[in-house]
Amino acid sequence: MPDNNEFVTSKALLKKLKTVKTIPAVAIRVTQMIEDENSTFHDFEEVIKLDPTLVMRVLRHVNSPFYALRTKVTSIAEAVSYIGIDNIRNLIVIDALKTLFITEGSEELFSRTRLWMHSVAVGICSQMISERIFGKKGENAFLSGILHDIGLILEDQAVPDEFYKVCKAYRSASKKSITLSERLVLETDHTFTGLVFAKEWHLPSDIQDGIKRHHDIFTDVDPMSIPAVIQIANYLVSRIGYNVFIDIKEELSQPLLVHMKDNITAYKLLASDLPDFIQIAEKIFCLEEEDSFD
Amino acid sequence: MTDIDMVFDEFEDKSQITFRFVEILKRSVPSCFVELLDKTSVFNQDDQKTQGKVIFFKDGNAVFEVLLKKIDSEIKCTIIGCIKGPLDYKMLESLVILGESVCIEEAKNEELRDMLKIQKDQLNREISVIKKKYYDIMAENHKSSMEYSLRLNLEIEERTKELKKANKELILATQKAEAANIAKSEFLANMSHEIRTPMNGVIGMVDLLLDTELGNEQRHYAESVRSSGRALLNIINDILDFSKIEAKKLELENIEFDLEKLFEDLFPGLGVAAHEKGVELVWGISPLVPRILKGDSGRLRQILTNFTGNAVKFTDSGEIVVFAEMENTADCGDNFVSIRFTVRDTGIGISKDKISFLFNKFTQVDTSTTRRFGGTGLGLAISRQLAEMMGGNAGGESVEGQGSTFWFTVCLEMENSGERRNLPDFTGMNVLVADCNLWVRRFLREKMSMWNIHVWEAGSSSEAFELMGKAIEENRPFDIVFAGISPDTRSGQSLVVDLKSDKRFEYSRIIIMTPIGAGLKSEDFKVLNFDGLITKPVKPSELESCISGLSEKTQDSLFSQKQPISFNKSFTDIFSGLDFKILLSEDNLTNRQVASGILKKTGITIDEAENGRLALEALAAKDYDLVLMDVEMPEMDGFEAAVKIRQGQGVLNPDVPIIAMTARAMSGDREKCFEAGMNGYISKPVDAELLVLEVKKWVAEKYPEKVDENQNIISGEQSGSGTSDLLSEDSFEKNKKIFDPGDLSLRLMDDINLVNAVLEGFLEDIPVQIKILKDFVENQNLDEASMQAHKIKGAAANISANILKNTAYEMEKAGNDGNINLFKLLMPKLEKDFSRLAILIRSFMDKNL
Repeated sequence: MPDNNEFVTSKALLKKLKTVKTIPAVAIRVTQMIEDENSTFHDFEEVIKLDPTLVMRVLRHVNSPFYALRTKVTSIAEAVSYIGIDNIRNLIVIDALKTLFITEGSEELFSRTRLWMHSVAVGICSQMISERIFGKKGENAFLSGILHDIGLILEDQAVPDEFYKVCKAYRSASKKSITLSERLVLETDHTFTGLVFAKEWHLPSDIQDGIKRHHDIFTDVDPMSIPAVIQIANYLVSRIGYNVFIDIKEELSQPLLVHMKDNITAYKLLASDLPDFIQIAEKIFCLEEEDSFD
Repeated sequence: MTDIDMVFDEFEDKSQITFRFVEILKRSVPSCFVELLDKTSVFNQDDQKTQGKVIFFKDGNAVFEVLLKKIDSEIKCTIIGCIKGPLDYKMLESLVILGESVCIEEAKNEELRDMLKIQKDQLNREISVIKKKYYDIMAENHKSSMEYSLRLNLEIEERTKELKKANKELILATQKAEAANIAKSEFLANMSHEIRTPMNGVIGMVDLLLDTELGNEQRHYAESVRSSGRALLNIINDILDFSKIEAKKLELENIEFDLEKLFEDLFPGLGVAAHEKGVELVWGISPLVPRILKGDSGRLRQILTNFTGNAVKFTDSGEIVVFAEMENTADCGDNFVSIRFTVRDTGIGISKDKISFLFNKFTQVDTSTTRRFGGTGLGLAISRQLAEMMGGNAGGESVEGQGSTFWFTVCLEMENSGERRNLPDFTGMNVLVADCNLWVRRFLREKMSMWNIHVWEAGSSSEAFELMGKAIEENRPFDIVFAGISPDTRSGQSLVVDLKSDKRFEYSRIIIMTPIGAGLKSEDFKVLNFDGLITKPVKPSELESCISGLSEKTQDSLFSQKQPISFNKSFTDIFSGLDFKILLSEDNLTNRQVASGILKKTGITIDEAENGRLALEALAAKDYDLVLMDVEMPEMDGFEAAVKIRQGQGVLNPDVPIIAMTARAMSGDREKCFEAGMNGYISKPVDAELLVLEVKKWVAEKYPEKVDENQNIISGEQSGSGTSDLLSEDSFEKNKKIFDPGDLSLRLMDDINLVNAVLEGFLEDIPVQIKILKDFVENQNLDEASMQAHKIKGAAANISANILKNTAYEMEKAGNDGNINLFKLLMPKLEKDFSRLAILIRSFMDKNL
């Protein structure tokens, strides 16, 4: 397997990350639990209850205008029964990972905040594409979209100096792809690192797929598949200002270009709604968490 | 909007719209005016010169070129066509520009239509996604709740299972405990029986042993065995009672009885014990209490004995008052009365907190009490349970150091059928009761008032003296003065002396009331010239006969009246000479010996069989008058044997009366016996008196003339028959009671020489023994006298001289009861008995010579 080396490197990277950053255990257990067929809402709630502040954060999200529920939800089990287990999982995962994006140093070459905004935008857009264009439930596309570049932040957290080099290399040679720059410096790239991470969290395989293959140059791809959706979303948001690196626009594989051309009016319509949606999501998933809530 | 549009710039294809324009132009410009060239070309051109101009005319048609400004400002399109006919260029140009506008609007419309359609599609998709999500969530919720309820159900099932198991175990444990408790009670009941049977054997055998000649030491030992045995038997009886009550197998009798008679019979014994301690025992029954009642008098007696016995035990001075009265508050139902029995003493008392424990089983005030006073601690518990079984209750109050009051109530049936007893009437009689005990005075007064006697009371000698003097003055002297002697101070004696010495009081009869068992000293007899004597506690029946005897002015001394102390009738030889054969069927050797020993003493003929089969054989060989049948025997039990007898299986008399003897005092046995065809029932261990009474019943059947109405055997010996009568042939049977040489010979194996030697020794020895006995009596040495009487009894028994033996036995008993009075009375009888016996012996010896 040619990818073997990258996997090993990514794993080492994650291992290193864990010595630097703590990732909430409850989130990992919850994601694992959702994959378990036999667990009930109540089991689920029992685990989440272990972190009372998490419960409050989740409930605040659920009761936010984003979901526009008619009743005020007061328990996790109730929340699950209103918005579904996948949405709750998404909230918990996002909640757990957001801390990784909090900025500590210079944002000159690479901005964590910018990456986060990009991630949220891709997530939202992916979900919209899934649901509007393909009539498919978009929760997994959303999470996969939010996490597609998680590898970058993991690398930044684990090996900040090397990552700085990557960014530098990437900026100076504008035609090269970011993954190429990563591999040159780190011997792996963020798609591998993200995949290893997703596997560790027992995220569903389509989410893993989205993370792993969003940079692939496809010659033949199902536009409905999550990697395709993420690539399209990436393409769209990077053109309306939600790009990771300023001035760098994401590329689209040929079959997806054809697909977009064929459905140009649909995408135009979607794109016209996109800014509003991203704005709402930004408010909810903003990095600065208020500590008090009503 | 422009931003977003720009995003899609690279997807735009401008040539499309130019083609569209040409299409519109072709369609809308009438071909008569404009004819587009065959080869319509649309091309991009940078050439500014030709913009919007007709370039040339060809074949009369103008070839023109129009710049489509509105469609595309950047890309220059040129349409080349020709205009036919009289159309000038200006018109043409306007037409083209119009066409261009139409084209643009059409394109816009089309795009808008497209967009609306796609928007509708997107909305539909979104709706379907939302539906999908909704259904998914619903399914998820359903699944989760199903799973949850399934898990809850499982949990409930498991818990239920656990509970059921625990319940089962509990039930099992309870059943075990209940079974164990029943088993315990049954075991106790059975054990008590099992112990009682051999115990009775022991006591019975010791009784028999004591009837033989024994040395003083041997006698002492044997008597100790007997008294210990009796004590042990009492304890066993207590336990048996208790376990029977616990096992709910105690049956109460419902038999008519006389309450006053019950008291009369009960208290002499207890009175002796009390008076020995110097404690006055008084009893009374409220006149309102019906005399004849129905119930279990035996159990009533048991409670009274227990309560009064306790009072005697724990009282060292003062008095014990036993009283029966109506309990009006209790409701027992029609024809029933509730009676309250109270026993009050002036004993040591019990502290309040401990009194409630007393009625618990095996509890005494403290263990030192047990050591000091003995007892099982079961008595009160049994008493309470018995009282409860009789529809009442029991309890007690006490002040430590001042005394206790124990009470119980019972519901008893009134006996209405019996005619009302006529009360004696002594109208006009004046009586003075002088006794220092208030209760003695009160009960006597109550009783005598009912007989229309005018009663005065005096609590002291001086008061009595005063009242008597006053009575003389008022010319209404007392007919009778009852002067009580208290058991502790003997006060009252001097009163009698004083009264008798005062000539004024000659008219009044003086009756001394002496505590039972106290006895009077000989000097009292000499000094006191009184007119009668009754014992305390006073029996109404005695009181009545005493008063009526005096009122009839008989000059006889009251000693000729019925003796105050009734002694047990001896059954010795009551059946001798009668042809009455008994078959005793019993497997236990000791029981057999005891029963046959008792019966043989009555002079009856008895054969023995070890089991039912042997009994049947015996009945086939001999015609018996009565069969005593043990119900539990090996080989063939009593029930089976009884059935076989009644069926006449080879027996001579299938109707022979059968009395069952059963150690099973449990309920239902009686019925079983009668079902088997038996005629009666006595319970084992055999009570001698009951056994004899039962036999007597059947003797009376056969010899009605020998037994009077009261079932007393008419014995011929009390008529003062002379020597001549004694020796006559027809008095042989009577003589046999005085002296039975046949029996003696038999016991001495028909050795005539031996018989003679024994008899000679007897004739020489007994006058000496009688002399010694007289000396003891003279010296007031009752204990020794009693021993001496016993010795004579043994000697008489030894030569089969039953009447002498009986008299000696009565004396021995009187001695043991402390009744010197009676003892003295019997002395002349003893001498007379001996002289008659001596005549018969000599005559017998003469014959033998």
